[in-house]
Amino acid sequence: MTTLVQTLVSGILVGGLYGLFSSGLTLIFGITRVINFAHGDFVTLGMYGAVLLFASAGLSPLIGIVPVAIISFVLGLIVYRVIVRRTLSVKGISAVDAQHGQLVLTLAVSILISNVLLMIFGPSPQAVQGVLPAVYDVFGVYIAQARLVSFVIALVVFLLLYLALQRTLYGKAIRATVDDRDMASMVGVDPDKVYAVSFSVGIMLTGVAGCVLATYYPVTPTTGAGFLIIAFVTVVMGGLGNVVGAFVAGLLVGIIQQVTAIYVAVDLQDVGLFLVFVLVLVLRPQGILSGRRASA
Amino acid sequence: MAGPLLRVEGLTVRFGGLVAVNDVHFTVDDGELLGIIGPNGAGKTTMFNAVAGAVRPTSGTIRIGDELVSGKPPERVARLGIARTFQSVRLFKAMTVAENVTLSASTVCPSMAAARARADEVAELLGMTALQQIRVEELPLADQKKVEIARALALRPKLLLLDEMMSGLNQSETRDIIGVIKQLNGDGLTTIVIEHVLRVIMELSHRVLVLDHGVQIAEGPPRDVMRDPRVVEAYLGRSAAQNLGEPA
Repeated sequence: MTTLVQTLVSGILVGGLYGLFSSGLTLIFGITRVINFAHGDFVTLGMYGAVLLFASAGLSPLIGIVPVAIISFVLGLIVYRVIVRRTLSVKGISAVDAQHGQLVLTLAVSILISNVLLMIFGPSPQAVQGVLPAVYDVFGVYIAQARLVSFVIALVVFLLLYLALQRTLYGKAIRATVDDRDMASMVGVDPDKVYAVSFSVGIMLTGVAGCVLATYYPVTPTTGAGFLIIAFVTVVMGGLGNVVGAFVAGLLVGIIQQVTAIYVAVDLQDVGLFLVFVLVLVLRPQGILSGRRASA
Repeated sequence: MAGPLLRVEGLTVRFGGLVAVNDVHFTVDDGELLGIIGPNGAGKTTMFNAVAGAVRPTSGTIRIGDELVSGKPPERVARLGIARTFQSVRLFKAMTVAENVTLSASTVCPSMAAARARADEVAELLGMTALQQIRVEELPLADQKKVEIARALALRPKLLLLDEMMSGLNQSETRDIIGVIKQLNGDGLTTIVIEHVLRVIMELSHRVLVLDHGVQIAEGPPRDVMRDPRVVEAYLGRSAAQNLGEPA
């Protein structure tokens, strides 16, 4: 029983971070329809941001999320302006061809980021050590402080995102664009602005997730590749473009991984995940929260 | 303002080999209510799309006042004062009535508070204040159509385009919407109405434009247009023939 609770708790704690960077990916996809193959590398960037701020300025990743968030947002804006925007409305090119262009370009961004990181930091794993070292014993269930705090931050940031989507004008414009982009522009929503904001915010969430993840997860230049796959699975499970669905699916993905790792074999944790993923695709292809947004 | 509010000249929209709208010319005066009729596939909605910026004309120009509309993207056209509704309701389904209208109002309002106030104002005008906090997908069709009108009005349009508002509505709902359109036009809002129900067009329009296969075949006061033999043939031919018991 304790093992089961321990497994679930561990799954949920890591799942919150999956949920956060996946909500970034789904936000970007829901709005721009761009499948961002560089997404995992922005998690990596956030992690290196935490490492760098800690090593150079002694800044805890908990404070580091502020500069990392700002830098990630700006990076997202640059990637959108310089690369993504060019692929969105090219005259005389079909949507399918444009999508091929996006795949190649975001993949190029991914390769670029991981190799620049390799050049700067080298291939060996780096970590922010000893920031939140405590381990709590709650009725026999062990909870690492770093994991708990990271989860709480992910949850808070996600709730802020949710509130912003519900309450602010940009949020309403984003939701309207996800629902019916042509109609949104006909009531005066400038698609370019909405694309730019959602892309940058999506990257910002991802960078923040990486930053707090660094408190307990060592980083190498290629760490992001694994997270990319997890983010794709999570986003599809949650329903494409469904931000709440992505966060909930993130928690599920964390749990499935942990359950497989503990009860089957650690090395098979992703196999367990993909098995469940295939089941979801067969039974609920529209996503687990068969959201209204999934049909949009 | 000198001259007509809307001036459409030589408007042609081609989709590949299909000419949906073919060399259409018309104007709409300030405060006028123009009805557009025509059989299915006549190009009415395509013409609306072109005027609203959703479809780029193959050739021809569209002007509102002195401003060129054709070639501009929809979000710019909305700011120039052209607002529209859709035959198949296209509200933001998961949002409340207030959110739908506020988002639209924010295009012409400097702040969120001003946009909210504008949304309240429009809701009051249409008698929908009580519905503000309801998600639109939970509303009956007739109310959804009114929300479409409200969302369009929130833009403070100079020109309102209404695409088959009456489809799917019963008698009393139709009366209700006709009342709303008359009221708005009576307050000076220039309006173009596409409608299948001829009774509605006859009652509302100052002037009627008839399209058939993308070509403008008649234009004039409603009574005259209805007597035009080309219109009877193109638009009423089948049903008129059926009414007379003749083979189609």
